[in-house]
Amino acid sequence: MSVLLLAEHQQGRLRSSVASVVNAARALQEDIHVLIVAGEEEAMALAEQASAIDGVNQVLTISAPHLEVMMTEDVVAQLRVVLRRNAYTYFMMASSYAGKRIVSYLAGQLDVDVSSDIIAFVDKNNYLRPIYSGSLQAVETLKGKPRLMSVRANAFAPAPVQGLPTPVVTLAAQPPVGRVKLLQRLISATPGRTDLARARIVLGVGVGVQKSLWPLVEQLAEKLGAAIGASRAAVESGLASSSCMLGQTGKIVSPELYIAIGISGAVQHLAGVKDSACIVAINNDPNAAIFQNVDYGLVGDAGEVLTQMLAFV
Amino acid sequence: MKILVPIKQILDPAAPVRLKADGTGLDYGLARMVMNPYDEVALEEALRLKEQGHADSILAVTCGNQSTIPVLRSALAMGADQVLLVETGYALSPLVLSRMLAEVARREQCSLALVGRLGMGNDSNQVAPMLAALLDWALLSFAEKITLEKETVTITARCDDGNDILAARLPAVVSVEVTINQPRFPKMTQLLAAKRQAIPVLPASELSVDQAMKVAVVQIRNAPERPACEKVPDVATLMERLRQRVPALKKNRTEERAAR
Repeated sequence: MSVLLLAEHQQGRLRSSVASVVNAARALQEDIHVLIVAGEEEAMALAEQASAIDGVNQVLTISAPHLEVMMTEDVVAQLRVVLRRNAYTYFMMASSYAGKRIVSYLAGQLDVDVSSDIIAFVDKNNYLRPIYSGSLQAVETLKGKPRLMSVRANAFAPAPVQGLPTPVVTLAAQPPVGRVKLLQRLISATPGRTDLARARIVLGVGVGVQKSLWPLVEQLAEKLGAAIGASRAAVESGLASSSCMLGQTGKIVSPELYIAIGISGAVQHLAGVKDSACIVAINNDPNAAIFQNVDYGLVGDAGEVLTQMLAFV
Repeated sequence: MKILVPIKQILDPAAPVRLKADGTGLDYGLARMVMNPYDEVALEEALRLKEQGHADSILAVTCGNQSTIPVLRSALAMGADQVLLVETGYALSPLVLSRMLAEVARREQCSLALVGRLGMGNDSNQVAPMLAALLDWALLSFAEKITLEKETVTITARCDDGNDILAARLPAVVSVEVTINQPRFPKMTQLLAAKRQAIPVLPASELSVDQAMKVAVVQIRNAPERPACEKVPDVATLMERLRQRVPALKKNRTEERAAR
């Protein structure tokens, strides 16, 4: 009876979501084992980071050259062996893009269902998740074993890092599946700009912000230490890259402050930002739907408001 | 080469959904039923691949009761060559739905499945990966662009930090992002022609797949609502409110004072 948790990482660092998923897993009141699947050079450093997270009872590492790029089919091949080895009752990871593919692909192979995007544990058997773009919430229960779940990381506070290392177990890697080939990996994160997942303040930009106003948005983001996200419409019109799209099928964020500028407020956009502690909408249309779902609304021209805000911060 | 496109009929996603006051079910109000927009772009992508000469036919499938027939007529009007209703009397879990789709893909000898990445309503993002695993086909997730060259499908995949360019030999399951294309509007003649066509119906029991679900919904509740919006008259008032409320801004202010 224990929980296996797959840790996501990037460039030799655990993602900030890992500590949050560990905290979520504590609700199950079982031993928590964190699995690191990585390239050979980074595995030990990642294991050390994971072993310092409060609540982790054991760290498992599997490393091989072909695991550096974390292809879904290869990760799942490792997971199947690890899950069998210890007869885990639960498996969970963050519901990132990678998490969504990995958990459901594993589920298909194991012939079980998944509870995805969990935002709270009612108890060990009942899990709360948003449905209908967040308008409703469902309490689900899983049958069969293992119980597979993906967790919305930013719905849980990160577990503290206590620095008392837990044991690290090294396991042998499964050979490459090789069915899907990675031809190229394009990293679109802008260096120096705050990461959306970690930002305390997020500026959301919609089609109401013309291209000429983007320098103002970037200045404001820099002054506030904010990350920049965009609506689907802004991504579709080429104003922003898809990796900063906020919403149901983009990034889901819950910063202390979210400021939506020139965004009309479709349900699917709100689904990605509604758990922010404080939401502000700036829009020149006093009847924009977004004003029904925010804490503070300001009707005004995006350019003027941005200029004035820059003077205030 | 035959392409499978699973289609879901959903409540108009622009309409707000709440529970009925007596808690007995969902209050649909006057909302229309429409094709899941993610499936609509998957179908559009299949049509384009066929028009480029990469596919021979397109099969659109839905699982549900007879009330979902209109969504198959929409698929026909858009240009699907063949449709199928797998008739079930209850809501399927993603696993059972994937098992049924896998069986249809086998019987119909499809070698590519284009799947909308999200079925609105349940919002679970699960069918494409489950289908790939059940069929033991290659999985290519979150496509923002798809190209097909001979027997190899290449996609630009949306990832957590940017994009991966991925390639796999057919057979494959590709999940499709809603930003991939702008689906076509059927012409009136196509809509009328689709209305006259007979819709093949296959009872789910005849698919001989295990219908045991491994997940159960215990309860559905309304999401908590945010208190009403305060309209502020100007930027000065807004910043004043935010400084009182947002810790990240309070900190900025302290640092500012320290800097002075």
